[in-house]
Amino acid sequence: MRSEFNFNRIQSVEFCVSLTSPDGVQASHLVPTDRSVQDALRQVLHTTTAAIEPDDGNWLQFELSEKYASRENLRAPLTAKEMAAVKALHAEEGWPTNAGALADPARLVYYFGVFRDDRRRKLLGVRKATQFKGAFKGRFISIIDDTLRMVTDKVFKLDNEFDILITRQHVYVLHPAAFEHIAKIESYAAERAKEKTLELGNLITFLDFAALAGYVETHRRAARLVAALAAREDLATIEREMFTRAAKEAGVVLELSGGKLRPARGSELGCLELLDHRRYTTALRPGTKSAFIASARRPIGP
Amino acid sequence: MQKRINRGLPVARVLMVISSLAPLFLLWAIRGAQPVPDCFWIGGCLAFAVLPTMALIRRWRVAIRQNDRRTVVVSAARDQSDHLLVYLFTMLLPLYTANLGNTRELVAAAASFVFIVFLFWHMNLHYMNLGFAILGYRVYTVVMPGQAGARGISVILLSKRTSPPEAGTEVDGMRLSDTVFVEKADAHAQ
Repeated sequence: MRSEFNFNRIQSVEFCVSLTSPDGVQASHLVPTDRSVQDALRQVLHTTTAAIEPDDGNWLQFELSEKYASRENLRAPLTAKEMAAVKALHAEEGWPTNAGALADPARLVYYFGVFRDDRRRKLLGVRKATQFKGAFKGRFISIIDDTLRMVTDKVFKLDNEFDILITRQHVYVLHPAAFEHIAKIESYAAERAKEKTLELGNLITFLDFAALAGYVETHRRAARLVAALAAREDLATIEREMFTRAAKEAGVVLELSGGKLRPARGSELGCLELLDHRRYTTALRPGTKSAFIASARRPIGP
Repeated sequence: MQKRINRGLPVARVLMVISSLAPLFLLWAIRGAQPVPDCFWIGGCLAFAVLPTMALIRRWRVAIRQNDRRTVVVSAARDQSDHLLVYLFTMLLPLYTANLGNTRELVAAAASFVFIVFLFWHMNLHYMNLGFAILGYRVYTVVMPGQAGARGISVILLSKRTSPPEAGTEVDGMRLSDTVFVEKADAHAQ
């Protein structure tokens, strides 16, 4: 991360917000800020970098089908297909100036700071604006002249950390849930879910994906698993016999249909999880193997 | 209903437009107007020439002090210093040659002055100021890149560059208004 941006030589700071118009179109606007806000944004960036960098220096790769904790240390390359929205956000420059953009907080989706270093490299720190909306809706107490008073003016409260940092090469994720919202991951997974499922049939020829396609269209979790599988390059090496054996052990019921296998009703998600290494068994004691579902898992070694 | 953008600093922009008419007020002060005693006329003209210009200088200084700036990324740029000619022919000369010999003519000139100020304010033409040219600034219209390669917004860049910045150039711009920026290295030199 530090090779992609010089955090000690920030030359300029800009503040932008992303708003939805009444007709649902989302667009970013630049809000002019003075030195105090720019300094505060710098501070937020420093707090975020301290929190986001893994202690051992090894970044975990973001996976579409993974369920993450509220705080993680993840990284994803901007070249990945599912990062199209994030890449576009980083590439955009011509935000219209709009000092009144904060007048209607209900329209605010997220806000971001644009930082540029001495080599003109750009880094975006993005934060989903839940707390911001809360700041407008709720009431604030502050200490003025030694007495507590309710602040009646509209108050913008910067968060302590950004959810994600975006450089030209990578997106670094501190809060996965907010990241998935900003990056429109659900939309990406749902987009062409049926076609993507059918395309998997070209790689895993012994499975009938036509039967799965309808299921994926209506199940978000399944759509994300399919999107994750579509990005994999090792699917063609899966062997029918090994898959069948693993399915039996992991409780995934398969049926034979026209010479191909297909998951029985109720085993559709299990079948996709099995393909995505999210169903596994252990054999630490004699007898029937115990089967588990791994909503979150990390690869060990190569 | 979505609020219109690029309409920030409305009062400052009016003052900047009036400031751009400072030469006209100086000429009017010299000419005089029959229906108004010189002491009021000259004082009024000088006030109109000086006060809005002071507001412009104030805005300039505030922008520097607050570090009110943005990086203007150039997608396309063209030199539009010839806009000053438009300014001369549409504002200065017609108003200067207006007859101020009687009250009705004076009121008519004042009305046309108001119309022109409104038009220039409404069209964000407050950058047309002989003062900028005297200080050595050229006027460039810069188109910024939008999302997904689309054409972004256009802004005015006041710069001492002798040719338009090339595509891909990043210029540190000090914000005079939502659509007018002064190249920062030049701005601080003032």
